[in-house]
Amino acid sequence: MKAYNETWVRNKRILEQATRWERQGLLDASQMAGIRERFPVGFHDANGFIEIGLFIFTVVAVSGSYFLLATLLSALLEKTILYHLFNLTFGLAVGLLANRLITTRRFYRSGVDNALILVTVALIAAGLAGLLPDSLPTWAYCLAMLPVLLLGVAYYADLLLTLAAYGTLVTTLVDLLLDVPGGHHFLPFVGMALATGLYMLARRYENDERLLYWKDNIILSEWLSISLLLISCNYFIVRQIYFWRMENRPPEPPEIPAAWLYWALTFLVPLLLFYIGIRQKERPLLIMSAIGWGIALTTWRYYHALLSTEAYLTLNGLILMALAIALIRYLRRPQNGFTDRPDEDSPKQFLIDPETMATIQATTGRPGPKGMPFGGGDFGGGGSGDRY
Amino acid sequence: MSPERVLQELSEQHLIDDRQRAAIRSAEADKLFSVHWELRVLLYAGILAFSMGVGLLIYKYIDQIGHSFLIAALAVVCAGCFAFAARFRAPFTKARTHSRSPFGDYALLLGCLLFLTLEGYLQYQYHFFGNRYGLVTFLPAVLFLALAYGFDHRGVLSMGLTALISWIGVTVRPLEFYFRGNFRDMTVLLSAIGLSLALMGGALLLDRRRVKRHFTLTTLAFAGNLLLVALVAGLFHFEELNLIFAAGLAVACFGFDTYARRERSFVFLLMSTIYGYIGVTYLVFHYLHPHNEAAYLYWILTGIGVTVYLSTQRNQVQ
Repeated sequence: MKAYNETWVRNKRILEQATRWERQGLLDASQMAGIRERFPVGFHDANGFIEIGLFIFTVVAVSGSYFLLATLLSALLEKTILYHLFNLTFGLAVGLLANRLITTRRFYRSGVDNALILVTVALIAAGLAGLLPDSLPTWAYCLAMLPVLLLGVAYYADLLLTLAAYGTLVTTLVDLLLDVPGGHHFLPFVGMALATGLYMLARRYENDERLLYWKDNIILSEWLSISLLLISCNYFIVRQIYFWRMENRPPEPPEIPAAWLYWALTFLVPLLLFYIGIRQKERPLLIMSAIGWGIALTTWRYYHALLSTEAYLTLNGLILMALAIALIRYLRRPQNGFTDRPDEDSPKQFLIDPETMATIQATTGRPGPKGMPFGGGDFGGGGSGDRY
Repeated sequence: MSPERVLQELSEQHLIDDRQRAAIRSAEADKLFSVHWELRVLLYAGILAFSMGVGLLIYKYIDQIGHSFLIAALAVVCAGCFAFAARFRAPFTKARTHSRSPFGDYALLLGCLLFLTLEGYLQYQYHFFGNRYGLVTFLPAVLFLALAYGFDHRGVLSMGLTALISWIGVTVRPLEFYFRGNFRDMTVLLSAIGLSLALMGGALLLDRRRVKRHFTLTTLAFAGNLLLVALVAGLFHFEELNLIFAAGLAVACFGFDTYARRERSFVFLLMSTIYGYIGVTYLVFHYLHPHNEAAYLYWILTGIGVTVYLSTQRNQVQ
């Protein structure tokens, strides 16, 4: 059971790959025309900006309907059980609408369907969780919602739902382990094991043709798993978790048992990710290892500050620039399969816009000392609040 | 789906012959792993961290020995950056050009960021510009805009536009989705409207003359957002001028809508829809005071209306 036309999803993938080959000059225009004809995609291709608008205004319309109905039925909904049943029914109705629009309007991740799917699954999950007794622990509610979310992912292959399902799974485990006496000792390792297991599973099936419909979801869960791995073994996080579990909390989180182990993991895991990333030429591993290394250094600085923030920023900036310049020069000629020449697999669009944004943000950052009079708008080369 | 599997599929459908299949397969096998953008981001993060760090550093040790040395060193680095960028600059043409060095664009960016730091420091320590605070932002605005066109650098263009907008007293913080300024002040409001109209006029004129047409979108997006924010703010703050601001907003939204459809630039369609919707909603709630049910009905009808409008737009524009 799948919400979207699977053949079209498959054809879309084939066309994407063929278009890449066409741009490299490996296929000519007449062949491309033939491929388009043989592998038709019926979805309406939408533009990213329009999708944002469609998403926002669909949410506006659906919320309006929800609150209108809830107001009209307010006398009835005072009974809690009826309120949860109302949520369930409304969710199902929105789901039916979503399916109708997906079929008739051929929406595929077009904003409207994303919004409707999200509302459907959220209301059904919340409605079901609401039917449970009131005094259950958080993990029990999460556990009850997880199957609904997973069914939603299976049916719609929606990315936001995937994120929600992943988050719910992790919340279930964390809350459950924190409920068990002594469970927090195992939490970092359970987190790491879950992250590694899910990552390996995702890598194993990412190119499986039977799972083509969910390819994006599988890739997303790889990114999420690496992030979970980095968070689970981070010294700062572990120390905070031990702190939360304490009966009488001192003002500052105290040192934790086996601190050396978590320090080692904080630094070694990003290095290991980098090593595997280079060996296997895996972009998510490489990018996350760089971020992980940054997190590790920041964690170290949090406890053992050697330099002032200014000196730290300046020095790190210099190191980053030197590193980037050296690598760019080194890769002018391809080395071991790596190159500095841009290609289409790079997440270019993701990077350019944030770059511009960050420049502007840095340009208008707070001026160095307080109270420096400027024309009226803040404008100075000083530091901005961002980590960059 | 792996490339190999796609190849097999195309081959089975007789869309490519065996020779071509072999060629594509070998191209795929020889494909290099590009880290181009990752390295650029690394370089970029380094530049931002460095310029931010020294920006704070020069105020921190302001009265200590070695401080003037730090300032002098920064001035040298700043000049060095500009010199490097100038050395590898491509000759000016109306079309898009690229620096002859992979680091040219980044040197220019670092130079501009350091220039801002040094300029702010000069004003802070020596009151270089006296009380003419406007000059402190107007000077970099003009400089950056000139450099942006001369060196063909969209990042520096955004910096110049940001400086220009802050010159009239409005702060741009895109990461927090805001323009901040005292829009209750009619002077600021009118300057914002005037500046945005002038910028849009300039951008469209240059676009027509085919000068750096890839800059048009950036300038129009900056100026357009400023104009629409100013008009919406005017609508909110000046009740007696409601009609004028509402009319202005309607004209601006209509203009952006038309432009978006003509140029297939959907960002302007989104802008005009959202700002227009905020304006209409404000007027409806301000004058009609709809209560519960009526308000919900308003959300339903307008939500559906805009959704249908946007989805039909998509079909036409595509």
